[in-house]
Amino acid sequence: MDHTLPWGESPVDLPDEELLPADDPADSVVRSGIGWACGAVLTSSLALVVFNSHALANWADQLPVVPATAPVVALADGWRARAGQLGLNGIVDRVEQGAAAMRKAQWPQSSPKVTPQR
Amino acid sequence: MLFPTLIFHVFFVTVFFASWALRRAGDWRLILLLVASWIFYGWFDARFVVLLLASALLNWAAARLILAQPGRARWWLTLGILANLGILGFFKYYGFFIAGANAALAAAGWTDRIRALDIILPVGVSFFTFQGISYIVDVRHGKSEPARLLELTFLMSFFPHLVAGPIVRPADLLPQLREVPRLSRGMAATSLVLIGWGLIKKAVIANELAVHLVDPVFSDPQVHSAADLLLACYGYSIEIYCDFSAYSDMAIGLAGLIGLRFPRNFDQPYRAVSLQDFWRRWHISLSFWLRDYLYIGVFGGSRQALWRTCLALFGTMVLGGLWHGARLNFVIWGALHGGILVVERLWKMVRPAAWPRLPQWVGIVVTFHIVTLAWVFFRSAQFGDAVAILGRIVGMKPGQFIASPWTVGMIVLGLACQFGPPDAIQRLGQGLCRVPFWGVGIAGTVLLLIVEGLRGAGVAPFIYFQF
Repeated sequence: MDHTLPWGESPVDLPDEELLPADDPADSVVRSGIGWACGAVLTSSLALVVFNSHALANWADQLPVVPATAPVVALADGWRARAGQLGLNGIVDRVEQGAAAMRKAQWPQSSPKVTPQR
Repeated sequence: MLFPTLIFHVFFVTVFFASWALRRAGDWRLILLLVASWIFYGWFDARFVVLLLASALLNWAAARLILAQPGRARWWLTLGILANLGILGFFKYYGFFIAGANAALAAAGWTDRIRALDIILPVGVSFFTFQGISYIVDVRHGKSEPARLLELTFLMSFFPHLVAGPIVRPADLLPQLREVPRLSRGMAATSLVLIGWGLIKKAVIANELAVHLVDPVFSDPQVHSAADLLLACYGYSIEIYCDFSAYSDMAIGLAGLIGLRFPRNFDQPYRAVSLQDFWRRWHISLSFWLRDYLYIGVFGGSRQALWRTCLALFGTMVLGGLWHGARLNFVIWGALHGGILVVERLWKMVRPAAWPRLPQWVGIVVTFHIVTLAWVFFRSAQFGDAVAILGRIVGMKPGQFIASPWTVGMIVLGLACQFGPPDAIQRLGQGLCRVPFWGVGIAGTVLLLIVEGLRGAGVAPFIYFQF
């Protein structure tokens, strides 16, 4: 009765990990996995603060307009402007421009149309 | 709080580090994750958390009574299921029944009306109710150990699958809660791949199709050409797959990073060769839930007279349709699926053995079009809209054509991923876990920046949040 999800029924199960000991005494495999995942998540989060100032500013702009949020909004908008000057928004800006161009693309020999808005 | 947002990113990173810091803290780790789940759920509406707690308490008490009084176990089980269905029915069908009652009063000549309360449908109420029902049924039938109140509340509240599944069987998750959690590099890498792929499916493919094709066409089908309508129907098939499977992928990936293994929930459903095959690949945890607790548990399954088996199949699918809401179109969607499943079953019995089998691709194409036809009813606001769409397609009517190469490309991309290697996610996970952590962090950042640039103004809530 006390079973668990059989191996292979979860998409996170990798075939070569099936034979890992259930409770590794040295805990080396698990420690390595946790450390690796923590490092990846931390690296990515820090990099996003630097390169994705758009998301920070958009989030700040949606905060309630009260005196307490004013410094947060100012900081986020200031960082977006500064990041723009430093060229850190380049990836998002270029992808946005490319996506806008692809959305506007028409079939050959068709007349221009107005893009529908949600 | 939606998965593909900055606020969820901050929330999850905090929970991720805190949960691994408490890896060997036993129940304290569960309590941390439980509180985090309530914060996540309370973000939608704090009152929902009270309902979630009440539901967990109800199911825990029902299971205790089932075990404590074996002679009355059947009675307690019935009462527990009715209480669960009562909660679900009240929130989902209250408005429908009040409107019906007022219509009946008006028809009888009464001028007074029943005053309708403003009831909000709690996000994910169906999914945590189904979790609760499966727990008490499984305990009654000896398929699951009884859970402590903390464990059951966690099972029903855990934030990755709280609002749209996958529905995790108690017997699959409870033993995991009682072990020290593990996270190998491969499991972490595969979880990250699932989150990334889910993000692309939701924020790019589903979002682009919804905004630039499906929503405009379905909101005013009369002005669109047959070609536009046909592409919008295909587009919706891809949109709902990418939307729903993205949620599942991200839920499984997020749970994986916390050290919990959730079952597979989608398995390239549009490569199904029959409708029966489709339901083994689409929202697998809900399909199996309906099979075990409704088709077999209530209707008796296939070990009975043929006509009763067919009725059970049809009834299960119609109720499955009605579960989405009290609308004629959902009933038609369920009846179409139920009807075709019955036809498939009968055809298997009467088909002459000497007849050659059709090529597999024919089955795939036919099944995809049946599913797409049913989605037309599912997506349309009114029955008349669905009929208009189908009528204009069959009549090859002229009109506006807004499908662009970009949106058609999204449809092709959504279809193409149905026919890739079934273990593509695992292969990518195996490759990714050989990369150093900083490389994975940079790759993840680039992916998120590309998605940020592609997703336009924002991301709509997941389609299944409303159910």
